[in-house]
Amino acid sequence: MTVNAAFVKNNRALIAFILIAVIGFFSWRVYHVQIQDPLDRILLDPPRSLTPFSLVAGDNNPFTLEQLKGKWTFLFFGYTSCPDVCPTTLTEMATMSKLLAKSTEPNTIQFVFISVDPERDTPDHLKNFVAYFNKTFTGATGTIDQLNTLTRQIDIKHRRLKEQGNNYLVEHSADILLFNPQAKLFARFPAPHYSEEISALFTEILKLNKDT
Amino acid sequence: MKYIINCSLAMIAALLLVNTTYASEKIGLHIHDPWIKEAPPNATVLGAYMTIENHENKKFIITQITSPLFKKIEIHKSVTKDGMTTMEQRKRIVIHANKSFILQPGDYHLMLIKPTKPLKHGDLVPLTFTLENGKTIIAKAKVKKVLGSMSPKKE
Repeated sequence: MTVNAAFVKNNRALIAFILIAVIGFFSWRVYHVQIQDPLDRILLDPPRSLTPFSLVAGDNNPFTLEQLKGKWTFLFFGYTSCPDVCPTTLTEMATMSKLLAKSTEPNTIQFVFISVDPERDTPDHLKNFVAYFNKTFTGATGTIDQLNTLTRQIDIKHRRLKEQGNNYLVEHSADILLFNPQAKLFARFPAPHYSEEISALFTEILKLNKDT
Repeated sequence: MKYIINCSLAMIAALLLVNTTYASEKIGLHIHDPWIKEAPPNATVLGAYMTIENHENKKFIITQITSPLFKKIEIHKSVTKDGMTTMEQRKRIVIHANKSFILQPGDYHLMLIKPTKPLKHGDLVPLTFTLENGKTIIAKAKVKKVLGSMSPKKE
């Protein structure tokens, strides 16, 4: 007992150093596992430039490469006759929008939902659909050819499945894509999506982007 | 007297709040906490989720689900294949002896097609489950507006 007390007294500096080293090591590991490794998995290196594409948003507004410029854009592809994955992802995006509103400058981020089911999803139907999740969200679509001009550049696959009548299903890639304010594809977040996790990673991306 | 009535009412209210499990008296198959994700007013399809518990030593098979508030109801599973997400239709739900069957976001769900009226948070939607043996269970699914994360939990 007395020996231990004496040991602690005589080696305070050494014990403090070991403690700091251990805490430092674990903080570095946690940073790596929670931030650096996930970032390495989602970031495109280098960011990918796009060639022009032409889609239509609500009120007949154009949605083209120009609309991707000047803001960070979170983009998700789906369709409104999808009861499970698409509304779930839009709910996550609405939560991200709320979370990021606290930590980012206003009007620096936009959220876009592009329908790969133009036959049933008109631009105005989409506008009303996304407004339920967040009034600032944009909904857009185009003809299948117009959609393919964009989706083929960013590895988004979509396919209408054959079924009778108006009750068909559409297969689609469910990644959330992130474009930087230069309209370059910057990162892709595979499903399932967790708003808190994506928001935390995006905050790190903003920090890294400021540093460089 | 008034006090007793008030107490009884409170107890009944408490029971109603706590008990969201639906069952047919003669069948040990329970529909637990059925709910529907509130959707945009112009949505043509909605998703319903629940846990179906089988308390008997034999399996049950649900072959049909109907509701007066929807044109049609299908059993679906969200799946990801070759980087694409889609839904696969299932003809029936098999609940094995003494097991549970979970319908949850991003997984098995009921696709409720063409609502007869827009549904809002708090609405109750009657669902009739028909079993292969011809028996039925009626459950009332609550429409809920989901805020925050609803993706399936990480393993």
